[in-house]
Amino acid sequence: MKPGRNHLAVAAAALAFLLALVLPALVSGYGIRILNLALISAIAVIGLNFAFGYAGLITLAQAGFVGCGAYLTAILSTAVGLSPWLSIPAAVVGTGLISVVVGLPMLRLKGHYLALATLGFNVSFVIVATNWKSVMGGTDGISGIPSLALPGLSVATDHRYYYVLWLALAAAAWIAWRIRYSHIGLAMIAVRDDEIATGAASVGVTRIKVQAFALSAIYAGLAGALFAHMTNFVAPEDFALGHSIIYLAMLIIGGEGSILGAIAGAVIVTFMPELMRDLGQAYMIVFGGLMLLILIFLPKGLLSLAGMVGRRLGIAGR
Amino acid sequence: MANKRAVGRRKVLAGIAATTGLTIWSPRLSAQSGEIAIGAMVPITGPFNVSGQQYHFSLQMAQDEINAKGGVAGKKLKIVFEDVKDSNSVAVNAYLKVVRDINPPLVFLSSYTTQNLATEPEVTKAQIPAMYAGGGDAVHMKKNPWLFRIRPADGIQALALAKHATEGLGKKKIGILFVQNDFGQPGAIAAEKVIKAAGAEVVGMEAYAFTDNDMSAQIQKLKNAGADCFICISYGKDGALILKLVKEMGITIPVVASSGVMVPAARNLIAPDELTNVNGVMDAYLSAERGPEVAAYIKSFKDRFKIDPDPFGSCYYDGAWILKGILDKVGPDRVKIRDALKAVKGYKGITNTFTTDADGNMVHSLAVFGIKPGTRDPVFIRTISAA
Amino acid sequence: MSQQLVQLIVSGLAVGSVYALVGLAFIMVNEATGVVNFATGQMVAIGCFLSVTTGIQMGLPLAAAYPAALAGMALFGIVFYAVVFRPLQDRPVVTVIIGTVMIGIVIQNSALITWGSVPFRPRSPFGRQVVDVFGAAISAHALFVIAVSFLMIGLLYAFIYRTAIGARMRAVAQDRDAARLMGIGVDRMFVLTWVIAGLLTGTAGILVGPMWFADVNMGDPIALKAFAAIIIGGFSSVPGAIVGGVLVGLAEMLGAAYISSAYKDGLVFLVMILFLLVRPQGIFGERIGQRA
Repeated sequence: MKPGRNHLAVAAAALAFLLALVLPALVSGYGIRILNLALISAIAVIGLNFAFGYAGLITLAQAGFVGCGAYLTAILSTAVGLSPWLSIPAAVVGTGLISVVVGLPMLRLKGHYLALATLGFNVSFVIVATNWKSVMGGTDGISGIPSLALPGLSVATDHRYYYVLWLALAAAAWIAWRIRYSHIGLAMIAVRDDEIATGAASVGVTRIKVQAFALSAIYAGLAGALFAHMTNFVAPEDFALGHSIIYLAMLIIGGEGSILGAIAGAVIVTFMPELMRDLGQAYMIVFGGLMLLILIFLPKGLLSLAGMVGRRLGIAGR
Repeated sequence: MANKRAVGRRKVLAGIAATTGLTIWSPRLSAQSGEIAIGAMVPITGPFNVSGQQYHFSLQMAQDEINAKGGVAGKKLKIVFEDVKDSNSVAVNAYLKVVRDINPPLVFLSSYTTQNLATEPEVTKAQIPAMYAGGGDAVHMKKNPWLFRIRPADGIQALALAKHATEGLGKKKIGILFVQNDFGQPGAIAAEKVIKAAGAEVVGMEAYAFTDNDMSAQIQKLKNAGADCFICISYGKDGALILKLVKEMGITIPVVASSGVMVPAARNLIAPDELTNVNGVMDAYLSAERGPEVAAYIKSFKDRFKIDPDPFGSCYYDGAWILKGILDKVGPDRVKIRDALKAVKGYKGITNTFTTDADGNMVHSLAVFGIKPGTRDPVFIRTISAA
Repeated sequence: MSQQLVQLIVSGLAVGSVYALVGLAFIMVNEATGVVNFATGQMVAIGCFLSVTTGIQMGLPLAAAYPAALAGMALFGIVFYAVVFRPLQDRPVVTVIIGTVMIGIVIQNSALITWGSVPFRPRSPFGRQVVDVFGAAISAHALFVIAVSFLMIGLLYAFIYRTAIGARMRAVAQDRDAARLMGIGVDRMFVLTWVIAGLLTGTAGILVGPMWFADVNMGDPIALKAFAAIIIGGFSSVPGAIVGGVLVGLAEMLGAAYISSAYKDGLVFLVMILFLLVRPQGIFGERIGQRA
């Protein structure tokens, strides 16, 4: 990446984050809820970027891992009675562990085999959540999940929770960025680019894949846990296979392999149904059609469009 | 080639921008002075739109009739509908949107239990009274003081199914077939209790998934366990499939079916001879025989919308009229509306008699039907109440 | 007891042969064109609803309604080729997966608008006749489903392995570039493949209608089971799809009867995942299963 463009991107990101800070003052309760959902999705999609964007693993299990995080914190903070400040990290760690157990055998698979295996995991998660009534609540889900609270300050309102999510997203993005340029991140990309070569160099391809998969799941677990404490209610439907596909679509639409792309994709796809509410019955047709057009005409995602515009402006300025 | 592609791409992107731009700037609704606006969360699109349509229509009719009779508290009643599709998060977002847009004194929630449960924390935060029609007992067990159910709870339905199978039909060995979700599962457990209390035996309880298309294994199992009657706790299409299979398998024992199977859309999937041994429950006995008000309601509904009203949607009509009475008396004050809803006693509506209990349940009985031989037409048998 | 077993086995075979047809449509497309088609289930639903349109709404006799619906599905295959396959043809696997998922969403919601959310009950050529098989009451339609499915599979097999066009299709599936050098019209073979996929899914849709009713959301559950079937049978194998489909159908019925009706679907997916882990090439897969 050219240093000049890098600076521009950093400046743009800094500006976006500053704007994000003052946003709640301008937006109503409904708008802020959608924004919060977008931030939560962004965390999950930044995670997915490790597995898919860097390591090239096609996984359709992200919603299942979001569900693991959400249910773990829900169970720990209701039935067990832990404080959310403890149950959230526990849920994140738990989700990571589950992903290692699931990932170790599955990650020997490639391409659509891996896609179908992870799909099977996601479908199975929903089946278990629907049927294991005594622990996971069945289709009634788990309600009464406590909101986050600081001593003397509840963050139950969406406006306050926004800042919690904003901090979480900023931290998640920063850590992801650090990982990207660490040897772990470079190894992941190497695995994607030339699996055989790195395999021959005995870098431990499976270990790197499991790392990428677990990082994905850890981010998903965090997103799920934060979701549970915002909605105070979780049910299997929110973690069904369709949501895994949406997460993948967010990443592809924003621009795979890019943290900014992951955030942009999550925000755009979350707001899209709300912006197009008036389309009614036709909305899903327009949504599916738009996604298809973006896949066909902008295979590198909308962020590549921003790059195109940026280049054009650069030319005009010269 | 590359150039041509770029042009095509630009056109497409311009199209995308135009589509999203249009909807971003769509105007925010807000209540006019001289108007009292309330919200209604309806599945207008998506797979639940058939039941949603009934609910939508009955509220539209109530709104126009109420306005024709002078409105509410001297103002015009305006019902703002938001689409909740088939998703919890869409339902919650729609609720937050309607609260922002019109700041209503009351909101009608949808008739789906999980959507009600997902919205419940927001109702508490917003402190706005709400009428809802999801049947799941999990909703009223929250004991949320702002929530009022305008339909019989699933628990009452399960009780009616069990009572009718044991006391009504005199059966002793009952097999329960239920859809594996928040509706079927607790319903089956509640029915089991009532059956045992009535001195009969539950020979088996078999679940199937909502998306299942072949329940013959479950039916066979219950039959082999010696059932002399099936209780079927299901929705429309799955219930119709079960009745079709029961007939195909040559089983002639009676089936007592939950209300989903008795709505016209489901009954139309079933051949008359497959309905021979079927009894079923419905929320209400919606028939002209019940009196001139009910007859007038059915007639004007059919004249206006060209379809028959069903009892699921019609409870919202009753809800709107209850609200009118309250608004006329106490005005659009949320706490006062809530307290007035708590105090509703013996209100006779089109569907049922409404009396609010400690959990916010307003309806406590439902109707049992048989089928007129050789047809798909229900024949009223009796009313079963919770007490 | 044995009567119950017969009942379950016949039901399982009927369900399983439908999964086999859908699985075959999936395999044909994947082998010949390299596309993993996640809209396969929606194609089944369209096939079913075309038979609703011709058989119920237009009131044609079934002898005309079925061929008309199948002709519609052949056309649908050509449109799918032009609108979806061509633009996505040389894209990475994941783009194709997401692309076909999105087109599935478009198809399903278009069907919802066209036919509404109230299910239909298409009639069977055998009406509601029930026949006695070893003392068990079996619907004649279930036997019809089994017979037609296996007839279709036989015809397909003969077409692929006994005709010149079939040989050309196999050549394209094995090595597209070599086939092109040999003068085979690769694009025409692709069109033909999508037409066959349309016919297979269309047949599946027509057959399931009278059994399961026509419902616009019927596609995904059927497709998920068909995925499981082809993974168990072998991702690139025609006999594998048949054996896998029948196994999944039987597992569903027998699992519900003898293990747990609530977890029977979980059981199918568990077996699928186990196969992926232990034997990803499936029962019949002869090739390396783990190719990218």
